[in-house]
Amino acid sequence: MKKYVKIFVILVSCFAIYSTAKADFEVVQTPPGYQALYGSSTSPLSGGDYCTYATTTEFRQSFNTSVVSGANLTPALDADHEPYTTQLPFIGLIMFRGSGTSAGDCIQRSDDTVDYYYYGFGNPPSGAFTFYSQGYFSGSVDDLITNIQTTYTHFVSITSPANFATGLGTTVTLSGSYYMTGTDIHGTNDVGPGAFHPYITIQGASSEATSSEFSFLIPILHFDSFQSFSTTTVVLDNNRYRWDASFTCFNNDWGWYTCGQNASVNLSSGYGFFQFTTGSFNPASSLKAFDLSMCNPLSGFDAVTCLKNLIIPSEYTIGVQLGSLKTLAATVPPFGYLTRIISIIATSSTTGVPTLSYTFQNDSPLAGDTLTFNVSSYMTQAATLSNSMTSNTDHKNVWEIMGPIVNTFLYLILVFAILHDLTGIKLIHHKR
Amino acid sequence: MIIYYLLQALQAVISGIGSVLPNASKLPTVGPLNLDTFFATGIGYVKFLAGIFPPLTTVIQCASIYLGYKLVMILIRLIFGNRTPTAEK
Repeated sequence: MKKYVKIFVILVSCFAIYSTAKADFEVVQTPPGYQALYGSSTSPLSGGDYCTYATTTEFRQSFNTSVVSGANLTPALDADHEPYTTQLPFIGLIMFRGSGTSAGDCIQRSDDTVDYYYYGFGNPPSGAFTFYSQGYFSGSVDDLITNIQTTYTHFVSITSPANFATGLGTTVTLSGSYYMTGTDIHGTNDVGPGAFHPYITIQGASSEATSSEFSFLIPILHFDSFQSFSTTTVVLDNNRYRWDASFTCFNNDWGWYTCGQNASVNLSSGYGFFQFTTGSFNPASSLKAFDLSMCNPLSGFDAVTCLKNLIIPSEYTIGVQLGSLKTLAATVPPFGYLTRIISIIATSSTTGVPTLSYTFQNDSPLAGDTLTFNVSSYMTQAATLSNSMTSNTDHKNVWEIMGPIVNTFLYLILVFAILHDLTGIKLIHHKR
Repeated sequence: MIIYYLLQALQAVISGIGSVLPNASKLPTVGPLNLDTFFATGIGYVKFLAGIFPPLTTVIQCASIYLGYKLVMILIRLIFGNRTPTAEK
């Protein structure tokens, strides 16, 4: 038994060391901002067709010679249809629009028929896509998405907080962005002569029985462009606040109707949003702390479900409870002090060490002179001691060269310390 | 439901205890020494030095791992008692 425990401890220790060492050598880059990459041999046009209409060679030339900035691209662009990757911190958008598979047409996989593709994002609409050629490199992802992808009537985003527990009287902001085409203010039965007034309708969702009832109308004044909307209300009761946004229009002759004359446009992709004042249930899934309806013998009684419901609260509820306990414990000694210590240790801020100084006394030939030593000026600026000494071949500084060696040495010391502690194995010193 | 009310009760107990104890969201001041500022400044120095002297980060990591190992061994001793697999002294 002892042997197995020893092996287990050694394995766990080795894994911990390996994980730490591995993490230490990984390069983590902070995104400097999204960049977009899309295939085109011409300058981008808002809302237009971005089919390249260029051969692969021309495509590549334009990419290599005129547009690309930050040319740390890999692999070498030396073969047609070579899968393309980039070392840029964040790949943006790769877009092809049009059809055809030949080199003289849009560069596109033969089995792809959708107009555009994303790469490097979550939720790509057409799945992952391998970039087979090159194109212009400019703009930002957001710009490209808004300018190219979504030029039909729809809600682009909802930016309100979700599942947010708050108190009565708290201000709630419901906001988002949308795109609406100028033609979509008309209805499918567009025969009335009256004026058309399109709105964004925000209202408490009728599908939620306990949702508070409220409704807002936000006039739509701009078309064929991306717009933001926002409205603010106050939480007035202890109910959940769930809302949907939709496009509605009003015509003087035939009243309210759902905007849109094109049946294919996405007119009412409403978003659920939840704001509530009690922490005892999860409005997102209607899971309460306990639901006695599960134990109702008249409506599908299930003993297992009932008992489980009686003993185990919902995941959300127990999360809220444990969160409250955690918050409470963070202010009560001794856990509060422990929390504070961990918080201080975990912070990323640094404090510059103070400058050391010495003023020579009167009995010194340098009396009155002050000698100062500021570590920062020697070690943290461009012309530091470590940075000034670099390799002739790869221009690495001292730490970059010695770091892996020193780290390996330290980790080996740790391994031997643990091994010695576990097994008693130690270095043998021969006495002569 | 049962666990829910147990947690509610625990929360009530902790709230009751906490109401008579000092607020511990910050470290206390002992005499003239503000422990919170002192500790935060000290950790700031260490992080600063670790930034300009990279091996210090590894040293701290190794010390943390060794400390964790010691804690695991304490746990194992609690469980296995005399059967704990340690080197013979």
